[in-house]
Parts: sequence; structure tokens; C-alpha cells
Amino acid sequence: MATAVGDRLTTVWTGLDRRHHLALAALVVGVLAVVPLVTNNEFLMNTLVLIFLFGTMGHGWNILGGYAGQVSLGHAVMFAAGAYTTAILFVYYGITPIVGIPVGGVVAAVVGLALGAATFRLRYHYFAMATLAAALIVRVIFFRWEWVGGATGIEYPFAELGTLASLTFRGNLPYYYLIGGFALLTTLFVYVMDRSKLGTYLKAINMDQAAAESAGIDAFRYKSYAMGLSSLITGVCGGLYAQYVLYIDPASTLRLLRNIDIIMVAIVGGIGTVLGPLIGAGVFITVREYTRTSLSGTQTGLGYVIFGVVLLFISMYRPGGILNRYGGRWDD
Amino acid sequence: MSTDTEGETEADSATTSAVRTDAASVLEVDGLRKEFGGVTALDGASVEVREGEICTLVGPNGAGKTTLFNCVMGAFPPTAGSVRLRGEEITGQQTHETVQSGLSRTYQIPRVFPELTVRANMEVNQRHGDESVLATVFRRTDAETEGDIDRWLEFVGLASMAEAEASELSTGQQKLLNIAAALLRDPDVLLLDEPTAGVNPGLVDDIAGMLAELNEAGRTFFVVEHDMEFVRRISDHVYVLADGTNLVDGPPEAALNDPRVLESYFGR
Amino acid sequence: MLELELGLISLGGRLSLVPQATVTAVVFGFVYALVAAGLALIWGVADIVNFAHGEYMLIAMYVTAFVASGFGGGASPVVLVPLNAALLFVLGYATYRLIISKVMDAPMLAQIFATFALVLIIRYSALFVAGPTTVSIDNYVFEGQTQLAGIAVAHPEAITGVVSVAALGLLFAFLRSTRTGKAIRATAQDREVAQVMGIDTDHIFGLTWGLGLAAVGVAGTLVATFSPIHPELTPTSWTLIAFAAVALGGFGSVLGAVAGGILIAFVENLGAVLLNPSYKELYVFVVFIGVLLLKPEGVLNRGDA
Repeated sequence: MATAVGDRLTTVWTGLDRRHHLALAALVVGVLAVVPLVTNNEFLMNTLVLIFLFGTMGHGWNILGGYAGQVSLGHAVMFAAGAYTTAILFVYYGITPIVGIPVGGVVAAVVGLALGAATFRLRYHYFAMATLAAALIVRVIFFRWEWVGGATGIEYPFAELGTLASLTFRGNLPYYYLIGGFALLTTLFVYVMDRSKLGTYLKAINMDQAAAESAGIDAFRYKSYAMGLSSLITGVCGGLYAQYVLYIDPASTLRLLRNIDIIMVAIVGGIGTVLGPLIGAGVFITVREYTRTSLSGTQTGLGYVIFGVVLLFISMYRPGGILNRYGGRWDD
Repeated sequence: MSTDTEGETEADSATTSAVRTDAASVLEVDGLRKEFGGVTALDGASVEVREGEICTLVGPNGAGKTTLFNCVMGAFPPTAGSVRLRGEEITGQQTHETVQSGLSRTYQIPRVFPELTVRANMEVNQRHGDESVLATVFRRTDAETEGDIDRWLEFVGLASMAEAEASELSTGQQKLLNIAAALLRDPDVLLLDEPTAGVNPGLVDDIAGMLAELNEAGRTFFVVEHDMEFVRRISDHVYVLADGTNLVDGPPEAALNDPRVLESYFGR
Repeated sequence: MLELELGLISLGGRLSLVPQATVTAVVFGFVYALVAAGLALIWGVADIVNFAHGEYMLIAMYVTAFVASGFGGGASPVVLVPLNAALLFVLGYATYRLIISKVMDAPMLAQIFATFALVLIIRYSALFVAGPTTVSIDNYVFEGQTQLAGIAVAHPEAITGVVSVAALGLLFAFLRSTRTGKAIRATAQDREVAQVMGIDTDHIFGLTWGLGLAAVGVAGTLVATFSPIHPELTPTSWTLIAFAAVALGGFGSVLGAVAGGILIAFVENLGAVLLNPSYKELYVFVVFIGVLLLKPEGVLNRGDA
């Protein structure tokens, strides 16, 4: 059923022209913009904030994994780079996150580019493994690195809560607009990128790298562009996450599952598509938040079992996700 | 213009290139060697492609033709020897650098990007400069390139298919798309790998016509081909390769009728 | 910054620990070798990277823990080793037939996601059943340790080493001498040629998965007798150890993976003694990523034109 809905969505979306896309997007954004005025349900607001955050992270991963075809299992590193930079600048040096978040994004981009420079030569699963190993190395180091708080992490000072300079808030509402705004910005960016030179080049590299090189494309260069943008977005998400939860530690930012969460969002919705990450985040976060709050204790893992099954079926029968770019056939 | 060998073929010995155009060399391949493990695929092959000619490379299977193409294009570096384009050393460059230097190629089995439209397939081949990230994100093509894309699609007869996915094209059409895409780069030399393989006879004629027209306009080609009829029809100069090295070269009739060539094809 | 604690123990003090670490490395090396051989077999023959390798090992471990506590610690590993090997063999064969065969010709992306999905399913089912806490078996048939020239060898670990070597021997004997073993090797070399020769390659891939995971079943049973089991940390660390060993051994070579496994155990244990014991796993990851980046034959991303 979900696949039928997905096909329908794909057909409708691709059948529309640019003006209609924008009109439709404006409608959705308009509805989302007034949601907080109608309800202040904590659960709903929190879920939506997380959908925005994870949808944006999904976009970030998707630029590299979906468009450029480089499956990173280590995006938690860039997420943590952004989160830690933002938190350290503010808590240790008193630099406002208004500056700290963009700086975090840039730090994440630099980290990502360095990782990419070392690993882009690797093919498929070797790249995936190398990024996974990098994530595990960083995780071990952060757990024991006293300056960044070791296993305890960094907590935002309570006294500063709610001040403008701290960019922290007492309710969900400002976060809703802050993170939602960044999600919107990122989505527009990816929408433009999808049809740009970069989008075309990345898709070409993904489909047949040798042929793309025969067209004069410097694959390393454009993969680096993708990695830089991907890491920047992921890093900013890390900073926003730190602002939202007011507390970061390696267990939450660098856990193995963080890598998987990001990927799941991008895959379930449809890799290499503009709206896939948002749809994926909508499905994934809703189910995850629901299973997390309604099931307790040992059952918390059940949500991941469900997603494992979903992921399995996607990989076996619908590799393109809900919005199916692959059109149901195997062309690698 | 460049074909001053026409009609003189019988008069000349197979190994001389005395009658060849005296235009400047564009592509010079000198003593190219390539070993894979212990196997020698190319054993000191040399080729010279001159401005404005259609130069063809033939030889029995396993002679090293495709290996030579791949080495010239930088798919892998040669073990020894050199490749020069307009006098400039390009040996060992990576493929994309070679292409940016001014060589383009097509494949025996056409390679298109199946899920991209025909137009997007062309866009992949537009000139890539040192553009910043943002320049590549906020731009698709410039007006001039747009016009060139239309022109070349028109030339190979795919204009009406511009918005179709490349996977919908027939093999022959995909070959034409590869040719059009390579032409978009305006290469100094266009390397065609078996342009007629897997193509119906009608289209072979079309392709021969296109090559003649382009050549008339001054374009230089370096072609690997099996179809001897086609080779005779299009070539200004023919190199015959056997066992990874030069056997004979000369004007098509002379080169192809050389006893050594016949022996290399049928003698073993 | 990173406190490396190098000054705390003198060099001489650390060197005196080397013999003990060497013995531990040898013992662990064999079981690493066994786990890595299983991964390499699947990798080399079926050309699939099993990201869920450690999770299958987790199954064997939990079965062992469950049986050991459920039957008052009386169930003998003599029974459990072959039982878990058989169980994992069946699971491996079924995994191939039901899941992996569907993605054999799929893009690499789908293959990665399929085995990653297995990671999630197995790991969190285990967490659901066994709880998020560490499980360890405290009264088991093997106990005690033997002192040899000042070097202590715990019996469970010693037996693990010995049985691992035996299992590896069996695996190699099977691959070398039996008809099926030869068919597996033929399939590894060229799938299409094997098909032409009349080999049912789908069956062979299934058997390969079965054998690869049976190796893990043996290893899991043995390791569970002395090592605590955590549903999230244990499988990750074993998968990574196996990856590192296979990478060191040259990707897909079973014999290479065995050598790689032993080498990894040395890196881990000597690193712990000579550098800092708390970064044990870090050394493995660093070697792994180092091998990936420095020894790129076969893993290079260059066009196949």
C-alpha cells in the first residue's frame, strides 16, 4: 500500500511544473506555520521539531549518499562536530550560538572534507566501512577526552536559559520556527541543487563514474562539493540539536544508531529525491517517538526492529524508498 | 581538403605515409607499452593523428586497439611510452584531465546515464571550469551551451528526444547521443570506439555521412573499427596493429591490402 | 587533551607484561581468526559484505547464556558448540535464500542496507528479549586457570583457542577436500563459469552463508563462556574486528582473514599493554581504517573502462 501511495506521489510530483511545486510547498509551509497557533500539544510539537531536524539531516546525508552515491555510515561525526563546536563555544567561551552554529557547520564541513579526501578513492562498501570506522574512532576518543567533558559531555548553564545570546528557549515554540526554518531553507536548497549542474553531475557520477569521467567530470571535485555541503548541513543540525536538548554527550551524539537514524530517514523516503528525506523523517520519527513513549524499558528497541524490517523490505523490493527514483528496476 | 590521398592509393607502398596530409600532428602516441600482470597488451605502439584527418586503427582481436584507446584517454596509465596532444605531454593523466585537455571518446557499447534525460546527458558533457560550489548549485547551463546542445542533438537527429530518459533510446540512438555529447566538448580529436558495432546498416550510412560532414568542417577523428568496408569508406589514414605493436600504416587501400595484414588476420 | 597515561607505568614494567599479552593474543587470535574466516568466506564467494556478522554471533552467545542459566549451568559446551554451529548454519542458509538472494544483483546500496537491516532486527530483538543490560555466564563448566612460568591462562579462553583452531581446521578440510568445498571455490572464482559447469550457485551461496555463520556460531558459544554480552556493544566490536582482520588479510581471502585475525589480536593486546589499555578497541579501528586507506588493491574506485 505504502508503495502504491509512493508511486502516486512520485507521478503527481513529477507531473507538476515548477510553479505548482512552489504553490504546493507554500501551502504545506503555511499549514505547518500555523500549527503552533492552533495547538500546543507537547508531544506533537516535539515530534514535529524532530521531524524538521531529522528531515534536514536526511537532506544532508542524501546529498552525499543519495545524489553522489557515497554511502556514509559515519555522519554522526559531522553531527557531533557541529554540536560540540556550538556547545563548546558557548559554554566555555561565552560565544553566542548565533555565531556558534554556523561555525559548527563550517567545522563539520572541514571534518567532512578531510574524511572525504581520505576515503573517496574507496569503492562502495569500502567507503561505507571506512566512514563507519572513522565514526567509531571518534566515538572512542570523545568518550575519553576530558576537555570535551568525556563521557559526561557538556551541559548548558541553566542560568542562561531563555536569553537571546544563548539562543535557548523555555518552550518548544521558538525551536519549532528556528529548526523548521532551517529545514525549509535546506529543502529549497536541495530543490535547486537537484536541477543544477551539481545535481546533474552527481547523478551522473552515481550512475557510471567511468562514463562521467569520460565526459570530463572530475569526480573527486564534485564528490567533495557534495561532502562539504552534506557535512555543513549535518553540522548545523548538530548545533541546533545541542540548542534544543541543552546537553550533549558522546553517547547521544556519536552512538552508532545516530548514523543509522540519519540514513533511515533518507532511505525510507526515497534516496536521491528532494522530498524523500522529509517524508522519511515524517514516517520514521512519528513511529520512533510513538514506540518510545508508549513502549517502555526493554521494549524501546522494538521501534528499531520494525524499522529493520522496513529497511529490509525496501532493500529487497523497493530500493528507491517511498518516492522511488529507481522506478522499480535495477540499474546500477 | 585534408584528403589529398584520395585516388592515389594504388600508387603507394603500404608502409609509406608520403602521400599523407602534411598538416600538423594533433595526437602523437609514441612507443606505448601496457602490461597487465605478466600479459603485454601493448608492445610499443606508435600512432600519429594529423589535423583534419580521419585516422583509423584496425587489427585482429587482441591486437591492443581498445587498450591503446584506454591508455590514451587515461583510463589507466601506460607502462611506458608517451602520449602528446598538440605537442603537450598528457601521458598518465586521469581521464577527466585528458578530456579537459581536448580528447573525447565514445564507447563500443554506448554508455549513457540511463535515468537522466537526453538533454541532461548532454549537460554532463558541458565544459567544466573551476566553478565554485555555489556556481554549480545555482546554475544549470549557460545560454551558449544550451544552444550548442540543441545544435548537436539536431545534428545527430535526436532533437525530438531531448526530454526523454536516455534509457528509452535504442542502442543506435545511444551511440548517436554519445557522439553528440562528445562533440559538445569541441575536442581536438574525437576518439570513436567501433562506431558501427551493433548498429543497423541504415544507421551505419548515417554515421559515415556525419563523419564526412564533420571532417569536411575540419574535425579530426581517431577511430577503432572492425567493419573494413566502413574503414575504407571513411579513412584518410589507417594504422594496423597486431600483437600490441604497429604492423603497417598507410592509405586505406594500400594498408588493408598489405600481405602482412592479411596474414595477421587470417594466417594464424 | 587526551591523557595517554604513558608516564604512569615504567617502560620496564610495561615490557614485563608482554609475555602475558602475547599468550592472550594467541588465544584470542584464533577465535578472531575463526570469526573473520566466516566473514571472508561470505565476502569472497558471494561478494557480499555482511554488516550483521557480529549480530549473528550475538545469537549464538545468547543461546549459550540462556541454556547455561536455564539448565543450571549444566549444559555442556560439547553439546552447545555443534548445536549452535548447526543453528547458525541453518540461519545462514535461510538468510541467503530468503533475503540475500533477492539483492545479489541489486546495486551495492541495497546490499548494504539489507545486511544493515539485519543488524537492526537481530540486535534489537535481542535487546527486547534479553534486556539492555550486560549478560554474563558466571558458573559454567570451564573454570579456573593454569599458571605457566608466571603467565596465567584462563581455562575458558584456552579451550576457546583450541576449539577455534579445530573448527578452522575442519573448515579448511571441508573447502579443500569435499566436492561441495570445491564447488564453493569454483563459484568464488567465477560465478558464471560455475553455473555453466552445472553448479547450482544459489545453493552454493546458501551453503557459504551457512558455513560462514556456523563459524560464528562456534566462536559465539565459546566467547560467551568468559566474556560479558551486551546487545549493542558486543556485536559492533566483533563485526569491526572481523572487518579489520579481513581487510588485513586482503579482502575475501579466507586464509588471509585467519592471519589477519591473529594479527588483530596482537595489535589489540600489545597495544593495551604498551600504550594504554583503555584504547584497546581504538587500535583495532585505527589499523582497520589504515589498511583501507593504505592498501587499496581491489578497493580502489577507478573506472572499469
